[in-house]
Amino acid sequence: MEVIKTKNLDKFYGDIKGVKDLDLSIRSEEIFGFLGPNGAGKTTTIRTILGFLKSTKGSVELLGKDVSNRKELVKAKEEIGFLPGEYSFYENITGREALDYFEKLKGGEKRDELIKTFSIPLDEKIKNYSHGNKQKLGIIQAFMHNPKLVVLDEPTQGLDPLMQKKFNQMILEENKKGTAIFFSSHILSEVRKVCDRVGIIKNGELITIEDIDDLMQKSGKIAIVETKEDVDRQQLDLEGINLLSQNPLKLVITDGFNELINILSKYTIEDITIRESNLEDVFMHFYEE
Amino acid sequence: MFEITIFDFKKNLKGKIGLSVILIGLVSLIIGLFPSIQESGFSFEEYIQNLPPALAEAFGATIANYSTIEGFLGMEFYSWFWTVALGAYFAYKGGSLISGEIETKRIDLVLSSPLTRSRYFVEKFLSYVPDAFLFNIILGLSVYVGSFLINETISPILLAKVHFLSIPFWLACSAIGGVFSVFIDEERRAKLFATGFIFIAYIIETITVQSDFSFLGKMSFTHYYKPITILSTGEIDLINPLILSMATLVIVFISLIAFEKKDIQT
Repeated sequence: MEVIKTKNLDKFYGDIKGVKDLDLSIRSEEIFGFLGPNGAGKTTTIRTILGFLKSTKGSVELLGKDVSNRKELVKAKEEIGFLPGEYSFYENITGREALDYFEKLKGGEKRDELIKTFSIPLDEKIKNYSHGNKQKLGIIQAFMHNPKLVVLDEPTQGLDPLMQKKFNQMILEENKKGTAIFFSSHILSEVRKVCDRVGIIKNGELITIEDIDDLMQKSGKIAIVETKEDVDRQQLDLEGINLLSQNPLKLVITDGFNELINILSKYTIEDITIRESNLEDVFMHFYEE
Repeated sequence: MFEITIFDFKKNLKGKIGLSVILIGLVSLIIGLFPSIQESGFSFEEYIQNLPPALAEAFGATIANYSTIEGFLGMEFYSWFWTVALGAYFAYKGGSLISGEIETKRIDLVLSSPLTRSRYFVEKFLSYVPDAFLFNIILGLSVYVGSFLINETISPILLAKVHFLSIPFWLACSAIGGVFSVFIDEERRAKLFATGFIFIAYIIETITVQSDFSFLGKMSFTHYYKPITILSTGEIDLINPLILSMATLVIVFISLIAFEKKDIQT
């Protein structure tokens, strides 16, 4: 079953394009990464899918329910958790009171379990919470009613690396138990750790949907090499190696590591960096118009 | 049902009690002054005769008897603080009903729960009902006890009438705030417009009262709630609370339609 299905979805603000012609189909068993640079239309898409914004054209179905129908949207929201990119709580209440409130509105069968994972100072007023604690509270409220679908807009902002790891683990576990996750981010390395498939959006339009492994395979590694002598460009014309710039030498490597090292070993290497491709690289190499 | 109403009512309880305490202080001061003013032999009738007729009528001064505690309180407390200032307060609170939730980015977490926008709005709006009861109970009792302490008696039935009828009036003021809060995303501006509406409508009512433009005064909710008249004559025209309640329903209905259609952009 599809948890999110959009068809020819348009959202315009007057003449300004938010998203255009968006066809998405997210399956119930997957963790879907929704990638795009800032301002690409990720939040607009999420808000339109969840009914906060009214679509200009096209249709959205959430858990098989038509979002444009008020009653169906309420029905769908019973089984949806949402963590917005930016949000806040009433500051003058404690974390416990905030969670009590959400529990009354949507249920909280997983609340205690989540509190154990993401410990927060429950009896302290939210105004005294650190940014990380507020983020944890947000995560708890998104998952506490054991939803079938959780939509997360840039969820790891403000979490320290240790917490990020915990969060990723939880997402994977929840997914195993049957919760579909729709996860937006502008950081490829973050998404690749948990997602099965990714959609890439740019300027309000979906460019591609790929399995994460295929995308990582395609996008390869980036090597930046500084040599004393000039490297002969023609030598680098190899399968799986793509020359991006000469000085310093910047390469995308998807295959042919041995040959590359053989070639480079003939030069005096002053510095070398090899890293995974990030979203900017992926855009630059595959989707630049 | 009513989770949001209860939450919203409880949320700022301290602030509301604080405001009640200020009003109790004010009422005590006014009641405390009454015996000495009565003793001084100051002629209110003369004072009223010297007021511009329009102003005197607007304040209800033409019907009130100032040598009684009812008339004195009606003029000094109920016609301004109780009606206009608290009306503006309810409009001010209403002005943040939706705009405040959007501006602070709190709305997403609640609206992603399984409830319609209309329920959200109505439940939030309904939290003004216990607010209105709270002020009425605290201040009604204070006025009664205060009068008792200076050996004056106010009819509790009269007092109950005045206080009870403030509820439809304040709710209409809150509804004005609510509709501004839907149409204007910026909380501060929505509050300003709502409060401004109550004040300006009241001023228009006051200055047009004896003119050919007195029909303009009917735009003001204060036209339909005159505690001074109730206190002085004991009479209630039931059409007034009915008009206020109808106005509230219409304004809330408009707010709901607009809110259901609105793009919620935090």
